Amino acid sequence: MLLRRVEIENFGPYKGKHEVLFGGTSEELVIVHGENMAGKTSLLNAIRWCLYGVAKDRTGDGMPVRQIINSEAFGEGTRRVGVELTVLDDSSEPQVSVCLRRQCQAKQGVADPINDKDFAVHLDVDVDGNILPADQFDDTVNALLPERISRFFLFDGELLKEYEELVREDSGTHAREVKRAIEMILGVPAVQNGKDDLRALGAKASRAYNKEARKVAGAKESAQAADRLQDEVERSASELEGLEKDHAAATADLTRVREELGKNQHLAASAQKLAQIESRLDADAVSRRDKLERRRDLAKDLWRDVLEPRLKHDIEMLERERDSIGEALQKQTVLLQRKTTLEAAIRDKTCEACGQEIPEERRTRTRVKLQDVDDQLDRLSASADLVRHDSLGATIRRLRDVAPAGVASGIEQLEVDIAKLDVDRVRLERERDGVQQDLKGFDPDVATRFERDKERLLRHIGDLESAIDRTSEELGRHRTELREYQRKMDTSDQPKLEQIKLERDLFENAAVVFEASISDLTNELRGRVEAEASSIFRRLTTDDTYQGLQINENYGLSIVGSEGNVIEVRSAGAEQIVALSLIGALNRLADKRGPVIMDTPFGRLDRTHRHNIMKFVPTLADQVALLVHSGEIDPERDLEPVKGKITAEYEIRHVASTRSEIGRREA
Amino acid sequence: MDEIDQAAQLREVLRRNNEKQGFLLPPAVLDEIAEVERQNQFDDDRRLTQRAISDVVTAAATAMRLSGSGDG
Repeated sequence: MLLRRVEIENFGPYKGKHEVLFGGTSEELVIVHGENMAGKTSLLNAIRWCLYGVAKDRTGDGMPVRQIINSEAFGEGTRRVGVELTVLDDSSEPQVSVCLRRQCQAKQGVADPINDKDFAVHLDVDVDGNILPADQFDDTVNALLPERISRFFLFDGELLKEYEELVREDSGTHAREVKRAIEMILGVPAVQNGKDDLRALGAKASRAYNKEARKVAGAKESAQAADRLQDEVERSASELEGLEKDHAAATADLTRVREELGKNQHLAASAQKLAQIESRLDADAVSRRDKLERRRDLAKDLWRDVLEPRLKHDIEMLERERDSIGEALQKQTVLLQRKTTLEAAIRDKTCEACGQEIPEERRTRTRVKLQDVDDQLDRLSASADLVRHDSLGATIRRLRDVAPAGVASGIEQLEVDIAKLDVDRVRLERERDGVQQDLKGFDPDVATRFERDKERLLRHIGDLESAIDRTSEELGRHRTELREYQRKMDTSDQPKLEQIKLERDLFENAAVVFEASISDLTNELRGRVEAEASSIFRRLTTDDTYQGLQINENYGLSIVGSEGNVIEVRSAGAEQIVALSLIGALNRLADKRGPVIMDTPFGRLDRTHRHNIMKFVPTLADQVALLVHSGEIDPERDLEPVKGKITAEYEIRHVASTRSEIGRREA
Repeated sequence: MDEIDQAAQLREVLRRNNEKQGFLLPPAVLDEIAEVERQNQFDDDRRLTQRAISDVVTAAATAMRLSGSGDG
């Protein structure tokens, strides 16, 4: 199958109709650029949803229809989502063009659809312009690209997670599902179904033979015994078939329960988010109220801002005067001390320091000095006014109390804060509305119920597996006994009996050959997967000491080191390289061919690995589409190895929080 | 692309097992059944596949009986 056109309507971030065109030819490499959250995964999901009616969220769980409708379109009243794929079926002869369209629309009278049952599903399929009945949609898809093997074509991070489980020998039901899918893409069902079909046809022929043999003289008793054993074989086979069906149903139930649990976990996370948003809204409301009160208080003092220039000037003047008086007072104190010393020297006629008599000539000089000090003190007497100094200090303090302390700027800051809180509140309320919409019909007890169901199903599956083993053994025993009786009867040469006997033997012999071939084929295929994956791995890895990969029963691949030892600890990048090697190998070995669409394939890789993978990508499938973001590739440098091989480039632009657009990027 | 022919591999494994079991079936019959199964391996409803196999086997049994090769 080759893609020709994808048309998306109101799907995920894509509001209205958008289209992506492919050439519908082999050797096609399409690069779709888009930042995170822009809608790359949604594009992959749209293709998956159109084919199989399943869109997966980030955790790999199915998404309800309501969640995949573009929220902006939904807000404007649109209750419809649709995807149309035009593909070329290149496996048919001649090749035909197939158009598949899936559309979900809210049922009439349902204004606010919540659950999938609120939507009507419309399926259209036409082959080369001939419209087929809607009930042939699934058969047509199954013939093109069966859902069970689609995980190897529509590739996202989920496969990596599943793959990591395969490496563990004790992996669970989920890994068994992946293993089954791998065996499907490799063509193992041809031998498994063959064995079952041939057994069923052999049983039918055997019964017909016994019925005919009863008519032959001497064979009646053996025919009756063979008939009874045939009954036993059919009873055991039917019991086994029933058990296998129950096993498949229980496994499917388990998958569904796990999906529901996943959805519920998503809703539980939404409930938690809602609580956080509401708590934030409450805290913001309190903060806003406080800021409004503070603004009101500050507004009372706003009049002081009017006095600001005058008061500032006055305070400066008064400070200057006070400082000047302060200096005079300080000088006066020093002069008074000097005067006291000089007066004592004149009065006592002796030196205060050495006690010797001071000569008259020197006392005369001292009197002159004293006169000078008195003169200076006289000059200072007007300015050294202590009362005025203290009074000025008190005035300055009073004026400072009146002067503004940034009242206006404080109010301005509060208003900025309040405006921020208002913007935040609107954003949070919008977010809360979205989450509340998601949570409509959410029941917190559901998760507990699903958890109980999961445990019960796991026990049931274990019991069924034991019963399957017991019944298989019993069936083998009955078949051996039946063959003994049949040999005793195989003596008649009647043409009709002979014809039935030949048919019965052919069916039974073919069943034996098919049964014996199952393990041979799976072992050979496993070996081929190992060889192909190793060859790809050696091309992709940058560590040339690695010998290759080693496969296990589940098709899990381990890296083999230079000494033939298994490398136990692997980096996230190594996991990705190994997963890509497995996918590459499966695509090479697959019978069904389809486009490989890889979402964010380079996320965990360094530059050299990206270069190696980019060189390898065009050989992965006839048609490859890479959905990449700028954080994982540098278009100039990383696309260099495929320059000239890129057939189209698209760009997803995030034009609004709820809307993206996809358009062709011109070279 | 280095494709591997799944049909050829299936035929090869079946033929080998047929030989191991002492040629229980004529190789051509085995090939025809294998191809029917390979073409219909993704079908859940097995009725059409079983009818096609039944036709192959009836034709083979008739030919064997008429040619006398089914005598053992």
